Amino acid sequence: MFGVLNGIGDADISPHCMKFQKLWIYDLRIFNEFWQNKIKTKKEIIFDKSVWSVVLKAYGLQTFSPLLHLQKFAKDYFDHYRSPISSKQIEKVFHHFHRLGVHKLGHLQKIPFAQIQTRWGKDWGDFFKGVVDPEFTLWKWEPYRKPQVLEASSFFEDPVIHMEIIKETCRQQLESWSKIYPHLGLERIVLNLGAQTEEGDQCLELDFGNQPSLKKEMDWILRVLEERLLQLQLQSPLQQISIKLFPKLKSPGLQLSLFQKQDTCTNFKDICQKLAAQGFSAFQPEVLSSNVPEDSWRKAESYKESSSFWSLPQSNITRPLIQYAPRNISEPKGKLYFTERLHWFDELGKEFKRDYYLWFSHSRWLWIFKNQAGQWHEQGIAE
Amino acid sequence: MVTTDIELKPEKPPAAAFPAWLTAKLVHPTAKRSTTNGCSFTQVLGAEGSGTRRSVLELIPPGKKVVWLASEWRIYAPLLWTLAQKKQLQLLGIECAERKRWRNLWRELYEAKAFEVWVIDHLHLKNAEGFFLKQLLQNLNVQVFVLEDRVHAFCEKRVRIQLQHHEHSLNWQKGALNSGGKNNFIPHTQSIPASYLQSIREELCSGF
Repeated sequence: MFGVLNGIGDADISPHCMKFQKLWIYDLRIFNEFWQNKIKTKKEIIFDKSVWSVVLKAYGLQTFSPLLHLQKFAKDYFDHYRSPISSKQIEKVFHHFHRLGVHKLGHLQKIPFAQIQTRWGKDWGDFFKGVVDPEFTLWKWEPYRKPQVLEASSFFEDPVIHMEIIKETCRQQLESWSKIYPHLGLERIVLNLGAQTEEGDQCLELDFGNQPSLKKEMDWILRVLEERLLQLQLQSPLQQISIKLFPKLKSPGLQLSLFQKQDTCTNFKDICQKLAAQGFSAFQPEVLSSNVPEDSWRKAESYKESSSFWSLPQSNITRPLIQYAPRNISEPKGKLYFTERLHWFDELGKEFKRDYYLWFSHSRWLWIFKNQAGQWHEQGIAE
Repeated sequence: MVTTDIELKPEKPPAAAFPAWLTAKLVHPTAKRSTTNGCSFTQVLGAEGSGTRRSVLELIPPGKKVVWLASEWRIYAPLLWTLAQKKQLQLLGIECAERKRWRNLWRELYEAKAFEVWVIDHLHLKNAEGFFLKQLLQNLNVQVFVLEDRVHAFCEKRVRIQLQHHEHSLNWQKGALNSGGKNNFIPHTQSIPASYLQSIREELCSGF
């Protein structure tokens, strides 16, 4: 148990661990009661029944807490879930509550949840629902995954004052990364400007809300970086700069085994089996020996990849793409185009005969046939 | 039972604190509408017999993995698979008539990440279902063709198909979600020869 807590580097294989800002949240429901009781003896760890409750406790929020204390948690929450709600909007909402006379967390219970959602939208609705009713609200669980960071440093022989040189160094580094990783999405850039003295060190962090592509949006990223760098006032000449790039995390694939760490595409056979197990009809056609359209194929659930599997007779290739069970029609009027004749006997010796025609009717080419009794049937639409 | 543990080693604070506007979260101006990395929805409008399905096969780039979803399978599957094989497409057909199970089915297919093209053949989707599908597939690089008679709001492009003599006429239009910024899409007309119809009428019927 203790090993899991310390093994932060390997925690990304477990879906039962989540990082929320500076808090590590562990889902202990999978553990035996013995271990749960054992871990309860540790004072630095906070326990509760639901994630919302435990996070609120960790932030020191309870019924009588001033509502302003909730503001920090709200900011962290919306930041973490990359919500479009800005810090200004958060301030505005809390100011609004203040004007309404809602000063304590417990006062929120008096406001109907639906009213909050109507007034400020679903994001706020979900947030206040979690705050007011923490035990019964679901927390958006995002398993922790170790972030991958690209890092590079440049040292200057002569101390640098001009931002142009720094900008050029950054540009070269970003371009070299974009060539190596052409599909990389960008989440964050951290630029450390190392001065000659430690007091003069500066650090510029750029968060990208929509994770732009490093290669495609390179011009825009460089423009933004340039603008930000121009706003900086160097306290002393720079001796080195280091650039850290936090790429966008790839969405995890379907986990098929405990040891699968990379996204993989499930092959057709697997997906067929999985869908069949759930009652969905996933199929490939299997050609049967009969030449009668409705009996000439069936749905085969086992997937075959052999290329010789498809050897349709020439006559079947000229058959229409849309086919259905024969239905009676009156004798067609107009020009008919003969396509094929089917003549067969069933096991009882009864004779069947069909003459198939294409007939243009109501802006469509219908596939019709005349049987041995002289009756007309429609069986498909040429497409 | 859930627990939290306050991180013991917090990250080193930056040496100099900058004003909030200097480190504010940045959003690319075209990002919200950019779907170059995500899915693209194309609606294919056309009556039965106008060649919608053959035209869709023509529009799919060769070598793709395709899933063909229909509520009631009325296609002569051996022919569809033969046509797909000519374009080296790997095809899987799925028949599901129960509307309430569609979302589960889509989730399964999404999780499998096995298909690059989805063809939705006359499922008569509701807007909510369409937007659900769009939301679901937004991070996948898949192409979705929606064969439908009714105009939908969740598609970026629309193509109306008509059969004219021996040609399928494809009239490309912007869909409701196409703001004009995407790939500089310009409405235009395209035609695909309906050679199969010509061969049936001219070659097979020559002696009749």
